[in-house]
Amino acid sequence: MKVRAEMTIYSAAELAALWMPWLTDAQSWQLDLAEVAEMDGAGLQLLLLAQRELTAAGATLQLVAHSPAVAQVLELCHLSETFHASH
Amino acid sequence: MNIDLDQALQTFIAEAGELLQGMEQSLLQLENVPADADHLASIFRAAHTIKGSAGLFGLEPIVSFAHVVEDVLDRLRDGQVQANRALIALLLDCNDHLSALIDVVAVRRSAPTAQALDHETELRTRLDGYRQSEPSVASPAEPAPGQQAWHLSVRFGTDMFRNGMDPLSFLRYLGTLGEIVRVVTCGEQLPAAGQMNAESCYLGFEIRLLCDKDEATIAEAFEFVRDDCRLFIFAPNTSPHQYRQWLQKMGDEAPWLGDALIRCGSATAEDLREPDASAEVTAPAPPATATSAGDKTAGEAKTQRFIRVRADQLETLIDLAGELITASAGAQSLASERADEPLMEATSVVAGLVEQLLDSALAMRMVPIGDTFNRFQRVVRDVSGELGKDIELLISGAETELDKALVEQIGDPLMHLVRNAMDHGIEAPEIRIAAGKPARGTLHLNAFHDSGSIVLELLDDGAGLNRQRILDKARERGLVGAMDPAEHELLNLIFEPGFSTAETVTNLSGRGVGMDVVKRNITSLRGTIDLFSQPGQGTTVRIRLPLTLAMINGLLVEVAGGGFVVPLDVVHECIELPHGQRDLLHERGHIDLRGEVLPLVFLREQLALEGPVARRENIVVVKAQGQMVGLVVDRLMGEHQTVIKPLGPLFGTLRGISGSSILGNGNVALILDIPALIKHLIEQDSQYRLRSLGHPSITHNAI
Repeated sequence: MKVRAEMTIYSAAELAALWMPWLTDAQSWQLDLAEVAEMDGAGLQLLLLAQRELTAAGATLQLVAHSPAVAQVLELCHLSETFHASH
Repeated sequence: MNIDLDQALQTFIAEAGELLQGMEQSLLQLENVPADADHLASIFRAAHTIKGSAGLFGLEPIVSFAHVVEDVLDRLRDGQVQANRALIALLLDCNDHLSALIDVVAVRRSAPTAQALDHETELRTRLDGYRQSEPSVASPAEPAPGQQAWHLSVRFGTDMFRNGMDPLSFLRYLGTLGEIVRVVTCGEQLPAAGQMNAESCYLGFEIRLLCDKDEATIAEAFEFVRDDCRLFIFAPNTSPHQYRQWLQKMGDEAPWLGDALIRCGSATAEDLREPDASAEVTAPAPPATATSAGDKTAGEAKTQRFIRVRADQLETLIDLAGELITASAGAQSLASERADEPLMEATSVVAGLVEQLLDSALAMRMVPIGDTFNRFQRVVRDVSGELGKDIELLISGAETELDKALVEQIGDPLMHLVRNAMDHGIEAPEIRIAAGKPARGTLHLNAFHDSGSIVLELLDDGAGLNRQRILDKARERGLVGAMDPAEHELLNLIFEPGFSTAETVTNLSGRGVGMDVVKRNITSLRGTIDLFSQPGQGTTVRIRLPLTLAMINGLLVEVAGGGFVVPLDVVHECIELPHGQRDLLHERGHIDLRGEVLPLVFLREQLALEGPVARRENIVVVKAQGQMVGLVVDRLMGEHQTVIKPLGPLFGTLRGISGSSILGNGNVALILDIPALIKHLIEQDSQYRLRSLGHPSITHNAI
């Protein structure tokens, strides 16, 4: 899956609506965030939620790529390891 | 900068004050019942809570001293030390010292004075006698320079994003204050996927921050969201014990937070383990731990049932509710003019609800007098020791409620009266025994409701007032003439300025300053004060105050076209003035009410109102100050509930009218102050008799 928009409060509701139906499927995600130009707390908590839900369903969430903006947020929150980011 | 911190600090100060007061009460109770587990537990809890909260604010001097006290209390609770008079006196001193510390350290934000520190050292030495030999854990506040590791715990409010804030920006800002060693991003509040609102914020952080700033600077980072987030700042030297306490308070979240603390490196798993395994030297027996935990939750449940409300906001609410009553009365009368049945029904429902609203708003201001009374236990204990007298304070009617504003203002006058009674009322033990009385003197504080007012009584079983001495003194000062004044007036002379009958002036009372101030204070609260005394048997001081200064439930009457409100609580009954007998009754000044003589007051004449006499008149029978009086009025207009609008200062000297009220139709009605009116009449009457002139009961003075 690829996110092309920014992950901020302005797009969070839209993104959440898009993601929610898929969260209950025990299907692992590979998320490409390379084109996310901006990310804030709202985007971050969505990511956290997705990860929690998928893990609960027995699947995984993997970030296959991320933009500098995303990397910076994950760094700030000491979450880089949590998302197993790989370049 | 201090102002930001102040908000939370003020809460701490207020709570600590209450806790210390409660602790003092329990200590005094303990003096009578040395092993009372409830009181022991509540004393311990108070000290423990103060220590914990002071720790949150980094008020080291308080934490350190409270720790020592708590230690002794812990041993007391476990029965390793027995409570005796000496220990309780010491603990009372410690209680005082703690409140002094809070005053200096928390209120004024300064360091304790050298004198206070000397006192503390002395107290510590005395406390050490009751402590187990234990290395002193608490260290005085150290001004350690350089970077220190703080721990912050923050949960943001759900409306963060909607308010245009981003939690991440706070993290970035903290990064500029110092070095963020570790962040644990907390999403445990994220709801289930289906219930999540992507625009609400569920985030929080546990942060270990290395910086050289003080707590206020760090707290300031969160200033914009202060009201909208939950923030805890732990000072660098926060002890494992304090973290444990915090976790305990956090209830359900504790496992998560504990884990985060460990991951941040602010505490170790070892630190957070339950106390009986680690640091605590005096491990309480397992059942004791269980009860204390139970107490804690009970205590917490209790505090959660209260919220603090600013007094002026409550004031505004009451004012608005009062205006609503007037407005809804207006709507009701419009509805009845139109004879619109459904509308009348609707407005009467509204009126009923509005009345309930006002009642509950007013009830919020009512507090039991008990707290005020209980404060005197300590005063009596200390002062009787000082005077070498044995005095016991009995309290009854503690649950009697009255307006908070009154409670606050009655404390000082009562204090003066209590001290006065102990100093001059109750005799020394030898004299008491010689007079055939028990050596132990008794003071009795009593409160009860009586016809719309609250009565506070202070009774002592002392020597009573010396009439001859009062009279001599009064003559000396030229307060009375050659004729002996009546008993009641004579006693009340002691409320005159500069009047003291004490032969010796002690540091407590006897300087003649005070009783007049007491009287003035009471009068300014629309209250009265009276003295009764039996020689050799004691003195009773009776204070009568209105229940509330804000509200009145009255009977609306009409006299000469004007509306007057008679407080409903003093109204006994209403009867019709017998037709055609007006002139006769007017001349006689009283009427036969079922075989009793009922003095009549013709309001029209009493208030010097003009206008023709109504064809029919009514008598409102009122009782105040133990005296029944019939007020002759034109018309009875029914019950009327209203908020009192105080009269302007211009009318301050007006006697007999306590305020005004606005009727539903916009007219003004004056509220009659019946006790003052009757008192005024009685005074006039007795002056009348002294001069033995004319008819006693009809007075034509305009008020």
